[in-house]
Amino acid sequence: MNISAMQKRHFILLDVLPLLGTLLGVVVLTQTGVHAIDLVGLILMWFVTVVGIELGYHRYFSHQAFQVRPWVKGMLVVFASMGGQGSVIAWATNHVHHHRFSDQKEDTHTPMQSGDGVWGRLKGFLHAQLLWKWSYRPPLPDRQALWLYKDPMITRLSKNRSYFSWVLLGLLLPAAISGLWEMSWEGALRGFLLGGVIRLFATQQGTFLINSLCHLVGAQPYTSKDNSRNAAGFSLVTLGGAWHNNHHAFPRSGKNSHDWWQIDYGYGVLRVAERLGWVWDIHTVSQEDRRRKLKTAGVTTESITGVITKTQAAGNSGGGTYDSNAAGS
Amino acid sequence: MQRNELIGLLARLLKIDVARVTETARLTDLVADSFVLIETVVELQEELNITLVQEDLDGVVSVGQLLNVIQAKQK
Repeated sequence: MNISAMQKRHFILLDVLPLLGTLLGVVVLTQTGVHAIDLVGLILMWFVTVVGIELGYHRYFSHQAFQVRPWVKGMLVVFASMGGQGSVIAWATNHVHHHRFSDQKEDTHTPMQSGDGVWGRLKGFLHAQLLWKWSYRPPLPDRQALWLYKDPMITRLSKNRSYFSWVLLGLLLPAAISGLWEMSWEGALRGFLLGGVIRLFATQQGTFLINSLCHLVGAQPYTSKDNSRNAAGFSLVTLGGAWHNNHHAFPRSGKNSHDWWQIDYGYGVLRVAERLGWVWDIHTVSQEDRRRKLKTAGVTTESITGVITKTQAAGNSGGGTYDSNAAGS
Repeated sequence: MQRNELIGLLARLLKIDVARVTETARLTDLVADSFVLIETVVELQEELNITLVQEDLDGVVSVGQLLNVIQAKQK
């Protein structure tokens, strides 16, 4: 099977079917009701998946923002694979490519190459939110992603059989939680639908919101060659990934929040893991480096650390001043 | 870049004798580890300032086929 056929199969199995399964799941769950144990399965699986995607696939495997123990590396691959967004090698290679060509025609999931105007932006949004997975041409690695191909654990866990096994595990675990708790098939079905299918669909869409809305709307405090934005409204569901302009300004940082009010509890999870000795060498950005890259000259240090101070002359329309954009989307 | 120049470049990147790099030679026969091939493709892109995607290399088995892909990208 060639690359194009494989990605189309993946799109149907893990993008289209979860969408249909979510619609079906909502109908079924309105009939059966949702029990507390189903919510436990959902929250647990959701957290595990977004930790795997945002901290694993994204901050560690794509950007090496910190170092991890080998077993943590393996667990991050397993957790993220349960999100059904592709193998670690495919995901990270494509993400590194995204940074290199962000919002240019080579970028596989940019919303900025589908034309101008409202229609163009709408087409771009739909492309970045889902449709790119059908048609994109998987890139080859560049130098930053090469290490992934050399690591035996990563290459082993990226093989199709391994990857699809973890996806399946992610669907069956919540079914087992609810089913065994209640010792009923109905419980298993509810767990499968809520913590399995709906969770997979929701976490995928959360990640894809970063591809789409975080390149369309929101604040852009930092100088950037692309259209990356901070979309405050999505920071919770993306574990801090939605501080996307911050991230594009400092891709290797393990901490995406740059102000006290910017919530990045992905970094909080990293700090806890650091205390436990599971991760170390978490890269962060100095205040000086942040100030240098701010788009608006004249923004004071205080504005970076929390006190939003408008120091730019009124009427600056070149992307707006930091404070005027800071409200996010 | 001419084909013989590309063959010379390929031999240099693979760190093997240029005589082994013939048009019909299978790429997997030239290296002991498939990672070297991936690394070489990355270096080829950098040296020649071209961008390849995985699809470009679908079905590419021999040196000659790889050179065809590279030359098509250079046009």
